[in-house]
Amino acid sequence: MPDWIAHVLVAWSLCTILGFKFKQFDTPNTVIAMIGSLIPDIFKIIIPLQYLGIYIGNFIYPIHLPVGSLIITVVISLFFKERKIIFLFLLFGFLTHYVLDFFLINLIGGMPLFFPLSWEQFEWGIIPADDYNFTLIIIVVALIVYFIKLNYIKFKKQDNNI
Amino acid sequence: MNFSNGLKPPKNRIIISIFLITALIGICFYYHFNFEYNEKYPSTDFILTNYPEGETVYVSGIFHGGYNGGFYIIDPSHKKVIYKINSSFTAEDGDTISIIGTLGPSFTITPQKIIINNGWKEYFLLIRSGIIAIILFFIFWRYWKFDFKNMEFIRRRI
Repeated sequence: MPDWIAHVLVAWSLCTILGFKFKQFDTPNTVIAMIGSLIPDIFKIIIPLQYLGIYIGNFIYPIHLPVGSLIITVVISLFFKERKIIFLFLLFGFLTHYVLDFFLINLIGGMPLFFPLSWEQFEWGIIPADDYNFTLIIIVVALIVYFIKLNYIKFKKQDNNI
Repeated sequence: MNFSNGLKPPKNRIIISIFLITALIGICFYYHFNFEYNEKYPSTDFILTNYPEGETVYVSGIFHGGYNGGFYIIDPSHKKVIYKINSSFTAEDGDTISIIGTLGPSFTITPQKIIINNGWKEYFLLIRSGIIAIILFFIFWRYWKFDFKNMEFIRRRI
């Protein structure tokens, strides 16, 4: 997988850019999108369980597929006051996760994105799962977005003072 | 009935959540009992029951020592299964190795494709992922709080 730094920063960067135009992409909702970007990786609970000798990867794998992520997104959004908008931001977040994971090299053919309707697997297969260079690129992009945002805020303040 | 008003009582939302989680568990069971028949290549579970010698299979495991001409991997979910991989690739302790190859006798694999994930890279990935999860938790808590009376998260006034 791209690591969680990559997933979270991609969600943050996209929300920040969209925030220049749409006020719904404020900081609290951006945080929700960042959390949404990690929903598919709830599946990674198998890692500590493996250390305990418990192997359930082949059982809970649907969590790392859109159908499982969607169900979890609905459940999480039920426990927010602004249910509809939270659902949309979580959905936005987990969709960014799948876009990034689509780039991963996978020997067995990719992810069955339309499971349980279809078992057909999809992948693009460009990046090794443990490649931290990809994360470094995303960090650089996020820093650029951050500095653009800082300048945008400064510009808006000056504009309001005129 | 107004659907969104129906979601206000915590009890209703808990019931819906239980229903959805049950549906997810059902989907997980369906996946578990059917994924082997829909995999591109057979993996260890299938190998143990049918041993498709001569066919292309997919196996993965942890490096378990080398020998002249290859190395061994042990499948952590099937600890008694040790594959002998005929390959000039080098691997080290802690490396996770995924292989597509031809299954020979006595769990020997002649690889067609190999991916080796270095052990230290995997640990490094887990550590930096763990750090960002902790940071994200604190950022979330800065902007959201839990209303125990209505059992829902609400925005903090900042």
